[in-house]
Amino acid sequence: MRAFHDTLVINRLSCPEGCRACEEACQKRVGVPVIKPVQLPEVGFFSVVVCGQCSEPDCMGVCPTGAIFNDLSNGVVQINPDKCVGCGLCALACPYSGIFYDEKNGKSFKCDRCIDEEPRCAKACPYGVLSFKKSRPVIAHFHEEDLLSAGTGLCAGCPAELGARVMLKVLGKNVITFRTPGCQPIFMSRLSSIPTLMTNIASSMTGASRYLRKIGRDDVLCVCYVGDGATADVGFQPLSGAAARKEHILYICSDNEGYMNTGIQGSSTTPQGAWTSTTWVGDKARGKEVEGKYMPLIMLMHGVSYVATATVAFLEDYVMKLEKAKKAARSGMAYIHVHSPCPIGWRAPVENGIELSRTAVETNYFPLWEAEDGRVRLTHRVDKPRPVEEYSKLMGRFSHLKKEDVKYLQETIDKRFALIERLASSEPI
Amino acid sequence: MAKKRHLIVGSGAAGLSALRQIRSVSGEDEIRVVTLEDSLPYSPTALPYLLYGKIEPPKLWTADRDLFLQLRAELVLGRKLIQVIPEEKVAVFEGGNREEFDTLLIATGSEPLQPSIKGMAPGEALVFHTLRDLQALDRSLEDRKESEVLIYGGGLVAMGVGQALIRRGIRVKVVVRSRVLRRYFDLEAGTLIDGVFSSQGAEIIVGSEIDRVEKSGNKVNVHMGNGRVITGDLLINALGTTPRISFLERSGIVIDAGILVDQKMRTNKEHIYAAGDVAVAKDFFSHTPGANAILPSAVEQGKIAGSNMAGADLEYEGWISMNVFHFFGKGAYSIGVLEGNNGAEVLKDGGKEKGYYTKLAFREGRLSGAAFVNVDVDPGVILYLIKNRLDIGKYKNHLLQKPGQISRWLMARNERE
Repeated sequence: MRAFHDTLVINRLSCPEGCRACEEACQKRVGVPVIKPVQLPEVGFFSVVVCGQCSEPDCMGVCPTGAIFNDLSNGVVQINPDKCVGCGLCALACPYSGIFYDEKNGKSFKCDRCIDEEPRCAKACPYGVLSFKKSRPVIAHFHEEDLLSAGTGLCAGCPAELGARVMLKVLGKNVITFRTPGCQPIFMSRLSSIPTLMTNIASSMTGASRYLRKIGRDDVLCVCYVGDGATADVGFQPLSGAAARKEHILYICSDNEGYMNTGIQGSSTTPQGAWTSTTWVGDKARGKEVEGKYMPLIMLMHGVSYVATATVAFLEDYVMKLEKAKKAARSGMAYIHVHSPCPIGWRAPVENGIELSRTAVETNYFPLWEAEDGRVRLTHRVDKPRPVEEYSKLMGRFSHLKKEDVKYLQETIDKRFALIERLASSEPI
Repeated sequence: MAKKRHLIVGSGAAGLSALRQIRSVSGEDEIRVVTLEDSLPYSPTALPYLLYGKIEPPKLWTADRDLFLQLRAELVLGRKLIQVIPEEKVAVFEGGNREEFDTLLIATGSEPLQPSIKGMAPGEALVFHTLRDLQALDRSLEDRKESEVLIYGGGLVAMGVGQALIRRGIRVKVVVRSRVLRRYFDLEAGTLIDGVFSSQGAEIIVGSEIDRVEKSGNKVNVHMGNGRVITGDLLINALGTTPRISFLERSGIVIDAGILVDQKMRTNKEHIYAAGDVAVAKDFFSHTPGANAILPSAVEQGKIAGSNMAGADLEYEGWISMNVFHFFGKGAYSIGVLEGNNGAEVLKDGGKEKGYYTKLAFREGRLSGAAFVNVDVDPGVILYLIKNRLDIGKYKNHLLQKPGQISRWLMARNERE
């Protein structure tokens, strides 16, 4: 069986013109740069090429002295310089610009992924084009015990089930879950679960977590996975209070943008223009008239330890945020806002749940970011965001929108994203 | 499925590639690799570098005993194949050893062409193909302090040995019937390469064949067809190679400039495969059979043969002519079909004055061949463009002007989008 290895990732982002930070950092280590910026304004391409560490590398196959080897312990393809004769056949065999002939040294050179340290190119990249992906977070929770019962009590195609399942896998057994009436995957939890009301869940979690601290069990995490009604509407005051007091809890809002369990009524997070059973579409009415409330920034302004947005379409990102939130909730409050498509209420095909979340991220409708102690960071930068229409057209709830409505929605999205981007480039809040 | 017995004859690139592939497909089968050589496997490609000490001899081996242990294969040294009896599934070796097999791979490689030259006994001229040849040349050079070596031939072996000897401080004269590296490079590229060799002190004598050789004392006098006489201490014959297949004479296996194989690298006899320098396989462009005795083809063909021997079903895409030659700090690459006939569009840049040369050939908007001398380009990426038949369309001139960067972009665009 092939092992999972750490990976240097070239993200689908454009490098800024003229930037050679990766090449310079690489040169310092190797002497000969083995990552090459490709900057072509004439075709609008700005990226890099570097070895992808193939598992069955062609360069290795053609080497006439067996100088190239694939280290199975870390998946890094390397050249033994004492054996390299400098024939250059490896560069002829590699289709991906992963191995380069250096005429000055008369030998071939390639990326060894900075085998003994974090790759310098990724560290030096100021724009997130290069990143270093550790294999551990990707697979660490793969084999953990599934703490939700088998099957699902939710509607067909509801991604909240996956969100909750992954959440419990990452957080582990040492948790007390809290739930409210509503679309609650936590009903399926095999762990102890405390039922509360939409109006008092944050207060209930406060009480429980303070008691646990008092008896010396602050290792037990109080967590909820509840809807936007309990978060942004009727439960907002207790949540705001808990956040202001910096209670030691992890609050996860699974935002399906309405009261989907009780008949698809609009909530304060329902986006502008969206149809719900209380935001009608007719001769004059064109869905919700005002913008949806953006909870993550409101929580950020409470000064809580950790705030993040997440979706199940980007699971690694979600897992990373759960891990950070779990840690942050030991000494302060953590809040994660999960985009949670409701195929029934949003009038979308049931097989489209993940696609909806992915498109929401790629149109900047739902940007992925986190804030650790107020430091905002985009965790998944989208190079060329698609127009929001590509998101809205996937759902029946937006099907009545006219051109100007879409334009207005786009403006709202752009404005919100610009604000987040500005926060991400500034000093801690 | 019952365990199979695979016999691989030859431990060069094709044989080892097949060995690895058989083992990756089938964990149980028995594999034996039998070679004529007395040493661990090595590649002739690496030999010139030993001549001037770029690597030390122990670093030469492409595979050691540990690798054979790890792959659970047996390596048998110093055994020469003399006959194959397909009907009995038996290979016969010199000294009477018989090996039975379920599948056989003939990967015996090539041997130097040795045309008879007047004034020299058959096999008397030094050749450069095996480790033994290298050692013989080394000894001859040590005997003479101030040597001047004549190399007959202008192919990659001739030029590779020429470079190595120059780097060792030996004066070199290259005697070529037409011009250097004619198989891979056109006249303009060849002139550029010639120029670099000349500036390093080599003398390149083109356009005439050797008529006869005359020895006087320690010197050899080479009389050319045009009457010129060239003198040196040693003569190395590097006119090219021919498949090593004399053992197939009465086997019934079809021979045509080499062993004719189908898309699965199979000969006309079931269970018998051939790969590498001995094989005549289809060409990538024309799908007609031909030999392409280069290392990358040997590796690929070995992989296809090995897979099919182990019971998988892989087809060979066909070979593409290609080579790389690094000489005195400059690189020369030739990939694909470069002739301008048959409606190909040819673009050129550079030349002797500019010190570099780029030549691109397109068919139907797709790259069919390219040659570069002293140009910053990744040859593998150029090969990728050719193999994947990428539509270059309006970027032909971009590719000509910035071949390195534009080819990287075309590849990345195709891979990442």
